[in-house]
Amino acid sequence: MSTVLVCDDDREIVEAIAIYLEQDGYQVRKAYDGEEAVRIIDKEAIDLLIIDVMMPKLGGVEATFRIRDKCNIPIIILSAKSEDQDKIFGLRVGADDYVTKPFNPQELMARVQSQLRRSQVLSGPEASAGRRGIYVNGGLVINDEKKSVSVDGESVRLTPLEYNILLLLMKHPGMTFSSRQIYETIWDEQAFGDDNVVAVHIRHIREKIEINPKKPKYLQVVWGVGYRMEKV
Amino acid sequence: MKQWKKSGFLKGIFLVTFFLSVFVDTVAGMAMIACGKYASPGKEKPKDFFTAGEEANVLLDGNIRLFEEYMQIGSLITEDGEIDYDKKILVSILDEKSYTIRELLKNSTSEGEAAENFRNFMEDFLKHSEEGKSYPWYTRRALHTDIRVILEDGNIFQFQSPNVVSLTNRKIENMAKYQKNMVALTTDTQKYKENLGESIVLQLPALDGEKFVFYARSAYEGYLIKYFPEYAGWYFLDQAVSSYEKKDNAGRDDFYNIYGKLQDKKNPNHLSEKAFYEMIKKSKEERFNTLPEEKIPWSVHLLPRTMEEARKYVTFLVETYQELQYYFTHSNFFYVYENSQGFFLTNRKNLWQDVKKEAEQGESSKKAVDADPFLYAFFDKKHDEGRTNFTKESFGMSGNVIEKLKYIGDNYKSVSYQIAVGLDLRGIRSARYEDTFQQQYALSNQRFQMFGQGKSALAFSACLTLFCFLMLAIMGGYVQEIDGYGLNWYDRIFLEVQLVIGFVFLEMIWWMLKLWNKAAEAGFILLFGAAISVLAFFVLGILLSMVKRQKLHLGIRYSLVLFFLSEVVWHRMKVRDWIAQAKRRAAFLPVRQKYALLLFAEVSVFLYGVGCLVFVKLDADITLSMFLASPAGIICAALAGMFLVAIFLWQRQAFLREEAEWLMIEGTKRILEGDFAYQIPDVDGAGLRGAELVRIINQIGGALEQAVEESVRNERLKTELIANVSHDIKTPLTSVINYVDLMKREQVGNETVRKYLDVLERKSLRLKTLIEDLVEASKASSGVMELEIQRLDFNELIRQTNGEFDDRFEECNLELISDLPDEVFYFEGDGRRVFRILENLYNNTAKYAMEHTRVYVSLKKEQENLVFAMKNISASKLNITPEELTERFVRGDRSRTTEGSGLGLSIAKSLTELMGGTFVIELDGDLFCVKVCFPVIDED
Repeated sequence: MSTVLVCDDDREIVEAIAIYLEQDGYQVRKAYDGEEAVRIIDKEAIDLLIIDVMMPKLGGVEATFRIRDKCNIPIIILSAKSEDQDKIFGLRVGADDYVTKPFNPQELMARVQSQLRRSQVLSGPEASAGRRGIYVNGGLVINDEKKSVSVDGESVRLTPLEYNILLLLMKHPGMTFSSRQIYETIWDEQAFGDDNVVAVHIRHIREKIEINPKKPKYLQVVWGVGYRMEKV
Repeated sequence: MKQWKKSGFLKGIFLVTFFLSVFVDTVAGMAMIACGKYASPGKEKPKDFFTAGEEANVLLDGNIRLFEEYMQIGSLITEDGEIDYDKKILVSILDEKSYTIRELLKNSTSEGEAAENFRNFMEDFLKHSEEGKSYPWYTRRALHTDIRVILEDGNIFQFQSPNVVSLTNRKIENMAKYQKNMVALTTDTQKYKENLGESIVLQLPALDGEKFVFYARSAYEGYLIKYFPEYAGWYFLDQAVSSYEKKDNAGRDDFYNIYGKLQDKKNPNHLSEKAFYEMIKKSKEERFNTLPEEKIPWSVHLLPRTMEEARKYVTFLVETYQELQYYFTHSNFFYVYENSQGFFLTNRKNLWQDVKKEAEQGESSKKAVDADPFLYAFFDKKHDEGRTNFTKESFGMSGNVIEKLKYIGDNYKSVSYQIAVGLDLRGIRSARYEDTFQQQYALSNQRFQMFGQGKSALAFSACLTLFCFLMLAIMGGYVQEIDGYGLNWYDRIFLEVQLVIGFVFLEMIWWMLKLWNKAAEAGFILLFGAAISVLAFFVLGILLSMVKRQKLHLGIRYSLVLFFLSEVVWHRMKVRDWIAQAKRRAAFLPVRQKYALLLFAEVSVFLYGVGCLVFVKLDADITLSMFLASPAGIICAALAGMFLVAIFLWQRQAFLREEAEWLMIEGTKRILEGDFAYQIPDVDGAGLRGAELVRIINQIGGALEQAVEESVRNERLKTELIANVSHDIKTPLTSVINYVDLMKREQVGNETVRKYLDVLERKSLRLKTLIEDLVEASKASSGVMELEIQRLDFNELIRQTNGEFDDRFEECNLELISDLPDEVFYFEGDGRRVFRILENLYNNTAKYAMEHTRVYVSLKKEQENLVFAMKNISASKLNITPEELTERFVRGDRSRTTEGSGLGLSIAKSLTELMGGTFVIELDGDLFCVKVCFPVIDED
């Protein structure tokens, strides 16, 4: 069973998260400031860290920094700051995920699960990345030969159209396609002006593969331009 | 280009020919001018040399007078033509004493001085005639016009010489010897403009104690008056007597003048006119009547009162006679006198027959006009008839020549006589006497010929000059190096400068012309011609220069004034650009260039003006140099200089001020446009008020900058505050949400509790939304957001949004109808934020639209904007205004019971405006319509 360290200067929040985690079967350690978190990680074997940013003594970001020096466990940053800069900063510093308060507890649990799976199933996706027909992007894996899609190890069922769209985007990570382009490529017809077909399909895909479809990790909407598979 | 045009050798030939022909032009022209009066227009022969100049008739007239005087002396002459030294002369009426001439001469103090004086007089007389100067007439009219009377003791007479009788000191000294009563003697040249030259002022013995002025009528009389001033007085009175006896008032002029002078009307004892006349007539008669039979020469005019005077007169007569005799024997002028007593007096014996024949026949006089002059005037006392071929021009001013002859003859002896005078130039080819007449005649012929020669020479030469000039103009400007037309260094000089130079040379020519008037000698003419040629060089240069420029089509560029005008007129608009440029840097060069050009234009115009003035003034014989040299000229130049300097300074001031104003305007604009930190630099010419204004504006800029900074800071602070506060709120809220959720998981059996928990969950989630919206709204309205502006495809965006809300609308039973254009339209914005706008609108619709209705979404291009419109039917009554709707925390139903923070529309509006768009809500009954516009951009 995995051990998760929860660190926040607000005791009630720590308690709440701990309850959720224990309910899902995880071992939980608690810390109330950055220093404590670093100490605990030094001493014990922790599999995942959930840490708040704003804490006395040592803040979440510096703690992450220090921890990253020593080990490579997945870190989820928890913060009331929802600015993009804060997110980017956190992720750059070394966190694997960023969750804003107030959060949806289910979402948080899903992310924990996802991160743990990722970190444990190390060799799988990266090893098979080189092989033909297999497209890997972070936790997202498409096997074109088998026509299968999996996210963080869990397979996902997509309709053929959804699959084709996802594959197209996976083949060109980082590149933005407009709905018109996607339509013309997949349907092989002239796109009509009014159709929301592509948008609808995209949304369905997102709901299937993203933890939080509203804040997609993989399948990004570039508003006013098109859709893009983000390189993770 | 033809080869010949390039030839430098040919050009040289033309140049040399040009100068030579100009030289000939000048000489011929001047010859024509000088000799013009000798050529009658259209005729092939010279004018009557009497009419050509005044010299000849003046000379003739003078000779007749001399003859008259000569005849008067004749009473002293024996039949042999010699002086009768035994003749008695009455010296004084009082003692009736008479002396022989010999006796009188014995004690004469003259020793030939009289003769010498007379000779001097003759010399002058002839010399002036030769020089072409008028016979020195002394006019009586001056009596009526100007009287110069200088009052000291005694009588002073002013004696005018109308032309040049140069009174040398020697002559004056000579006169002084003969003058007993001369007190003052001056020469006064200034007063009289009508060619009245020098004058002498003599003081003479009083006549009845009164003063008067008179003028002699002939040089000879004047001469006499100089030496025998008493002559004047008596002569004058006699004239008055005969004047009174004339019938008309005009004829009585002389009398009235004398009367006016000698009788003072204020004096109660003054004589009446008649009485005065009686008195002077009596004195004349006394003189006449008391004379013995034998008249003394000039006894009518002159009466010696003393021995000395008599001696003087006689000496004078004798010596004069001898001089006159010599003169007449060497002159072409002839006279003949023959009386019934057998007295025969002539200087041309052989002519007498010719004259008589001519006189009797009369016809040949007409022929004489065309031949060499032979003039005569003949009078026969016995038959009282006379004939003459003197023309009006030839005889001049002396009146009727026949009358004159009669007068001379009658005065000599009262006998029957025949008398004739004339001029015989028939021997011209083998000249008779080389006298003045002969010289005049020869000169006249010569000058006529010269005129003709000059005419033809000028005609030919002028054509040649023109031809050479044309050739030079055609060839001009060729430069060998470039094998084409080019300009010399002097061609590049501006036209105005060249004109000024040309003007200076013209002035020099004018000077020379003025000089020439005074000395018309052959040598001078040639010199003058050469000088003109040289000057022509410069003028040629200027003319050729103009031609060259035309050839090169330089147009107005060679005229500074025209160039400047065209630049100003054409580039008028650019002047502002120049100034706008100038303000950016410290070097204000464009403005100063313009300024310098303007100044130069002013100087040119000034020179033009002066030039014009002087050209006008040239008529009055004042040239620029003379003018500038005179005190008036120096003052004018100084004033002009000061004027120029004043304009200079004023213009400079005006320019600097203009510059400063532009700087200030531009600077202020710049500050207004947002560059609050910009400080307008200090400028000259702004003046004290200007500098003050600049200081104030700079301060305003600073104040603005501060205000803006503060405002920005405040916004930031506000946003930060909201962010911080929301952050602090979020923390406990997290716990609330978590524990509510946990509680729900506890599977509480109590139904009521479960319901309460639902409520708690809902509300806490709503709080969360509210806070998030609050932060977003605050950021959006204060503009503190960082936007990633990209080119967005509106159609795509709408489709994406439609896709997002597809399910939701289905849940709300709303049918979405999109009307999107086929064409792709782009606008600039932050994609995520624009989605947020649309998201809010769609959310709004989903929340508040009536179920089972249609929602219309459209995109249209209107002019320069893209308009996104969303319309739906509201579920509940809309009893508020659109403005209120977009205010924060206002929702459609005021009860605020349903979900939603009420910030949605406010955020959407703020975001729209932040990205440069417009956000409009229109409410019509239950119809809710929202329009979002962004400016369209072209697809690049």
